[in-house]
Amino acid sequence: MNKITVFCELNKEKNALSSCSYELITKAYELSKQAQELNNTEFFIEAICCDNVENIENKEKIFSSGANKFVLIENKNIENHNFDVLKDTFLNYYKDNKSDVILFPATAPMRHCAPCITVNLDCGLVADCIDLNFILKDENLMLSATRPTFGSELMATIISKKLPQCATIRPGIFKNKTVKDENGEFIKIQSEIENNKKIKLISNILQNNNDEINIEGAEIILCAGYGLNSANREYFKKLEKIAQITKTQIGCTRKVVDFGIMDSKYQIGLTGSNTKAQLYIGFGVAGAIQHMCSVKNSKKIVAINTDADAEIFNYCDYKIVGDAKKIIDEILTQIEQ
Amino acid sequence: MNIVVCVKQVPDVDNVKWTKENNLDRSAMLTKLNPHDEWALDYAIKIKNQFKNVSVTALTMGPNQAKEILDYALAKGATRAILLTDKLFAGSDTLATAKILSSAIKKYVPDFDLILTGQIAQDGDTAQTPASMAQLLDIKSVSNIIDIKNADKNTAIVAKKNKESIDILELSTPCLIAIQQEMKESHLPKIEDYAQAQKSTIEVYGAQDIDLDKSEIGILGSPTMVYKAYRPEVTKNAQEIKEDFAKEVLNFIRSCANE
Repeated sequence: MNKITVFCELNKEKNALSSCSYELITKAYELSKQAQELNNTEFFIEAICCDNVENIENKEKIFSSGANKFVLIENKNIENHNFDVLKDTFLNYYKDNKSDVILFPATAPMRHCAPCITVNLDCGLVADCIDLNFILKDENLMLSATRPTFGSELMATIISKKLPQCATIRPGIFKNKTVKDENGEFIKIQSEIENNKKIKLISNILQNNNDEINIEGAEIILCAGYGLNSANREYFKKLEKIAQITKTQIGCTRKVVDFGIMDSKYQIGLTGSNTKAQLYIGFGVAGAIQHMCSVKNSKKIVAINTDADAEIFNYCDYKIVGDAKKIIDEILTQIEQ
Repeated sequence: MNIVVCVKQVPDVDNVKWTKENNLDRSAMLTKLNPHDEWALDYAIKIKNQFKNVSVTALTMGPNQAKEILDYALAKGATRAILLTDKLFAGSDTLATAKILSSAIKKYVPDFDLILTGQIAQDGDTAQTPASMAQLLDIKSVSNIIDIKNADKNTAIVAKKNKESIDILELSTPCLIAIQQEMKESHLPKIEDYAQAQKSTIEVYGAQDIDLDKSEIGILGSPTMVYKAYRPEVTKNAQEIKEDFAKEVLNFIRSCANE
């Protein structure tokens, strides 16, 4: 049987799968539909979650998102800071349940864990993909995975010559959808697997995160570009004020972070967050590809830049050739009235 | 104590040049030591300066030109430098690269205690090679490390950055640590450091020197291959707003918020 395996992560707070896991399950379902159209091949979609957890919420959504089967493997020895037990738990199940494709979320932990798994399967792994398709090559169905490379100046589409064909996929790129009914096969496995490669957790320090930042889930993003810079950096504060009043989310570009103006948690782009907002407005954003890759899934993109040839104007729906600073001042005057 | 630092020569991605045919013009681009690898090297030198008898081996795979970054590593304080170069290595993906590097370490630095790497390389940005190497060497590994608090022959204590917290972790050696953040006390080598470095010779090894079959290295040994590479295309035709900028922007926000 042809099979796509989705390696799922847990959202510990909700005790349910992470949002990226649902995104990948829906994408796996869509890939299966694509394979059907290309050469009438059907794929079985299996979602797997290995963690130190007895049961999880909202299993119906796993099935309605596209999975045919959900496997929960409980192992009390799995720890967040050490992937060797997680890896062995998965590999132990996988050796009797092989697959053609394995999809992993490209979160920081999984970008470490996924290669630990694929090296042991002696197969390839495409990192941090932003697009997935099946293609026919010499009449064989192959997974083609596209990712930005060279500081996102270049897009590379990569295929794997060996099975399983594996990829890590950036969160927030694909949309989770209800694609079928809530029925599917659920199995729970208890695992006792241990690993002698111990890493001792001495302490866990929570970082100050008083303000709510949710770039990936925000409906409206106001993005500060380096074009807002001035001697006292007042326009970044002003834009934050507008975001507060209009209850929208502020974000920024890498350059703004690199110059120490805003914290990296606000960064949108290759090394920051992705957005699929209903509305994105770029204030003085130049439009570097590494930034735009993470913005282009927004429904409506508005760009303000003094330079009529700014790169961002090639990606936006509405362009304003003008000074974003002046416009910020005017907006503030209007909303304070 | 023996430390291996894996380094890579990368093109300067902030100064990418294109040919007329819209291909990357690699020959026109300046190359440099991958920044994350330099941070890893800085930590290794810091540890070297704390203890007696610490050796720091800078290891790279690349063309002959990659000797430049090994010279730099020696000037910064590395005590040994190894270049793995061979036409048969060309086209290696992360799996094949990890096999080559880990085989070379097994053979030429078998008594290593610590392997330090950068979290990512600026050109490929896969971040997969370090974890893959650790698996092949059968040692524990940690990534997203923002500080090495302490490291000696037996133990390393590191700070790992998570999304919303920082873990302080203790690992027994041998282990691999992937560095994500710049070390504050980094320094550039001086001219006399380069002069001193000239006394060390760079060891050069090829495919026949490491114990791997031809089917495991280079293009043959790489399960992944680039199907096509292209410059992202511009697709949209923007509608220009010509007046009442602030009002229009506010209208966008308000109408979206009301939907």
